[in-house]
Amino acid sequence: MIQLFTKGISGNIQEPVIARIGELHQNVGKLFLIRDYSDLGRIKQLDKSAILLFDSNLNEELRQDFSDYTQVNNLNTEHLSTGDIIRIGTKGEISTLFRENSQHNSLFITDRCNSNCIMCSQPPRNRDDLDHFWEINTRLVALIPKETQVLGITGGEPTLLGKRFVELLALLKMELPMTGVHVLTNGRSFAWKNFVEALSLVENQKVVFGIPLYSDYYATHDYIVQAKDAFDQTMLGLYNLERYNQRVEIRVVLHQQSFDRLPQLAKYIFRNLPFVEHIAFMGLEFVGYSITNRDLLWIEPEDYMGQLEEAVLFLDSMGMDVSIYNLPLCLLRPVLWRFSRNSISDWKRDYVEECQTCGVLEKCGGVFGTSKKLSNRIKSISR
Amino acid sequence: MDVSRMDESTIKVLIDANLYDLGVVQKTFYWYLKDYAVTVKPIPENNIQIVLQKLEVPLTNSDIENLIIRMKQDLFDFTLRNRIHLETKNVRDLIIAKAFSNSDEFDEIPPGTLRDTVDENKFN
Amino acid sequence: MRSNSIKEFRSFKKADYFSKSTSEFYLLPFRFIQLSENKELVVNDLGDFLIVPYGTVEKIVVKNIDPASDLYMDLIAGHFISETPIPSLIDVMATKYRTRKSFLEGFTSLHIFVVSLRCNHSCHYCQVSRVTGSKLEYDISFENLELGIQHMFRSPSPHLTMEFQGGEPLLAFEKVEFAILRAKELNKQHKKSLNFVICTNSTVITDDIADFLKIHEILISTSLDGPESLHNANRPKTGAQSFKLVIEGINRFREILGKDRVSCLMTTTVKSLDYPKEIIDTYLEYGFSNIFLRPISPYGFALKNYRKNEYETDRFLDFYKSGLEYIIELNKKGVFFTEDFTVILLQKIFTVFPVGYVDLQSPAGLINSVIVYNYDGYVYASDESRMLAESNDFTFRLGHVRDTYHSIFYGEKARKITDHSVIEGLAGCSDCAFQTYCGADPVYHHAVFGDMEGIRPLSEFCKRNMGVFLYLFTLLDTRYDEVFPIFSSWIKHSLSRQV
Repeated sequence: MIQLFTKGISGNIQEPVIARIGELHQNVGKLFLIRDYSDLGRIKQLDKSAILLFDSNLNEELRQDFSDYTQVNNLNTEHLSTGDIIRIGTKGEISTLFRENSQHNSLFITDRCNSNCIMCSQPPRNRDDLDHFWEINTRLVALIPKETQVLGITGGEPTLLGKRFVELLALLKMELPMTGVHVLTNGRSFAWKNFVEALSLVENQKVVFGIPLYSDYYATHDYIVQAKDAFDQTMLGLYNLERYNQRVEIRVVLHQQSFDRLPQLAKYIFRNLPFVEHIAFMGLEFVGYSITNRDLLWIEPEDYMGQLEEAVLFLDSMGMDVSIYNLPLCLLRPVLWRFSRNSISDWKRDYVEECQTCGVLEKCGGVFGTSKKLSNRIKSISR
Repeated sequence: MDVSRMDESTIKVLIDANLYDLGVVQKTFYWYLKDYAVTVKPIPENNIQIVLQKLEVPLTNSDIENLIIRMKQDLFDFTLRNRIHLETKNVRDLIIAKAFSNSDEFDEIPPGTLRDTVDENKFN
Repeated sequence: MRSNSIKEFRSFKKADYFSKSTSEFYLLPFRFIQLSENKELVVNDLGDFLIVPYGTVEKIVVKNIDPASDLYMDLIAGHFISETPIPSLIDVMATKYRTRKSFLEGFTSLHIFVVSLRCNHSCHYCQVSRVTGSKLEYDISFENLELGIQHMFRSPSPHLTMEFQGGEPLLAFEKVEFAILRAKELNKQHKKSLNFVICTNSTVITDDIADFLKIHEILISTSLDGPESLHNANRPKTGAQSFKLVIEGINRFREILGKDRVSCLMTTTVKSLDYPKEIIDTYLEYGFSNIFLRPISPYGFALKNYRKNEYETDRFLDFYKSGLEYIIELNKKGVFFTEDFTVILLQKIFTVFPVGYVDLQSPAGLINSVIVYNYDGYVYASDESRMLAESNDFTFRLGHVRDTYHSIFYGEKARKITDHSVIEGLAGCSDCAFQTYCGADPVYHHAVFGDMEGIRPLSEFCKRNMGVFLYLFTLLDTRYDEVFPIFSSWIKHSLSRQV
């Protein structure tokens, strides 16, 4: 697990700052991470517009020399590195918005959501934060390196941005034309064709919409996402996306409420949604609402492995691109290993004690460090 | 259903038109053309008369027994088909009209809302 | 939103809160057939199907289905029933329907040019060829060829395939050469995707021809009927040389063009019916990975030789089944080999994508998918149509290349043919469970019955297709685990070759 938030003591910060951590030695940037005083001379030459982040291990006395600089001190800087883009709040709170060496960066759009999925790992909030995050994200996008391969867009439900969602896709096309954009959305908004038409006019072919479909039977899907008409809206949305040549991935979270009809779901997808470019079956991250609803959701992966195998092999046999996310190899039947991907974000990925002796550790995506409950059948595999 | 033999290769079947629609009877006996010369006609007192004349070898009694079983089954199946047809023909027409329409004029308004806890959404 | 309604919105509701299920559901259009003593098949207009216990259809019609059952969910998800009079996903259904019929959008894509009726072979099943006869009489004229090519480019289809037939088209190579060069020239303006196929008996290859085929990336379709004795027996006048010559030709074409540009068609004759395995083995031996177990057609010379070529559809079905069984066994042993008719049907059964197979389309593929420019300049609705003309039946002659495009493709004759080409309206077909996967064949029915619709219970076309459909669905019902991995690999392979 890697931390993405820390707090120190702020000095002279009048308003929130969003900036990329620069390279002190090459004097690039205006935000610098100071972990030692080996380059004291260079630090002293910085002009007064610089912003300094002082590690908590540093000598207090020496730091006094910089007291008129904008700064955060007494900071745990372990997880920060040059190239990271961070947001510094006026009280010294530092959130990491973008990590240069990671493939798992996202723009966080909102905590709002019009669904209420029973297994939501990051439960929605009921306040209007769209402007707040819009401000952050539009500034962030300008700072992200152009060579970035992939960037997520997540929430909450990002399409609650409405027209600004279309603006965002246009902004990404302009600022990051080479970056693959992966949008996690419930797809319900796309049932309204004018919305899809508008976003298709952006012509950003780097955008893929990752959309959940939890059952071929509407009432099961609606129950899982806790929203009436959600299934119909999502299906109509998927068809509108196809109509306007948008790229789509289907995402299926595996738990007690969704596993039973996985084979039927697979057939439904091939029959009705053959245009989707990828289907991901995803192990449950046991956090957030999953804890509240544990009795409704928990199932040992072993107990749904038969249905999962049938679904995955059906889609694969028909030439669809299928993946399994978030399940360690020891919980998957070997016939499914070739579909397993290192899907858990690096900052959430974890391994348990058993894994230390495992012969396939380097091929395994591990488990969610965030999960409050793991399968008790995780075991090391001899090579 | 009342079945009587007319000659060595021919039988006459009387069917109560209250039970079976003439169209259903016609569709059913269409398939008997392979082995029989078939006539179907409505007759007084709300009956339908079917005459089946076997084209090749004479009709045995056991042929007739099998024929009765087959006729009952086929009439039943074509009655089901007719009920499905009657109940679904408007929807079928609508699907086809939508399928071959080159504009959005037949598109439905999506069901439900996109409301969350903060406000009404802008698209609907 | 007020705090109590926020609380209500975020509270977890039970499953039944989201269910609209009711025993008062509505039927959606579907058809059915009994598959076996205890199973029946239901199929809708969109191609969705379910194999269910016998008696289920009755329960559906009388609305006696447990809303909590898997069957109920299958029926809702498969668009067989709806909880509202107009299903909420009707626009999805309409799009699927449109996709199945999307072969109509491009209009005519296959343009067959009969460049010569002359042939150096004499096959007793052959419907059109002349072994003797002058070029003047039996070759297409440059003028008519040019007019045909111009019509071809008037087709709105973005994809054009130009197929050369005969007789033996390579006997009139100067016409083939002219046509291909001319089409390429005109395509500089039209910018369509343009493919060329030559149907040849592989016995006429000069160095000039070889160079030309290679430069223009031409596909070769040739004839191989099976093992040497069978192949030669089908060509009595050509004698013992034929098989040897064809194999030499195939090898030569492969050297010139590459293996995947040479394909074979097999013609089934009465003699073939006893040798399904041997025929397949011949195809395997000469490096082919597919075969089309085709029934013989009842046209032209074949009609005159009716007694000789006549065989019961039952015998053909046995031939097809044992052939398919043998091919399934081969696949189980790890040999990838497909039966093309089965692949076409499987793709129609399992996917919403249309299959470009003229005989199983509705409206039938003539005119809207295929057109034939005959050697004498007359234009026909299909290859079989011009064969009928050889026995002086000109029902499907649409006009002459000199006529306007509109009068040929949209004229009175074309309209009349189309009226009889829609399976949805044909007696016997309108209630058939296989309607969604099947097609109308007005030329066949006209040839046999004298009218374009025919009588379904007497139609060998119907009997054969019904037999094959029933067999495939029975396999899917009773031997799913065994056959599905093989069938899906065929579907996947077939889809990957289409764009």
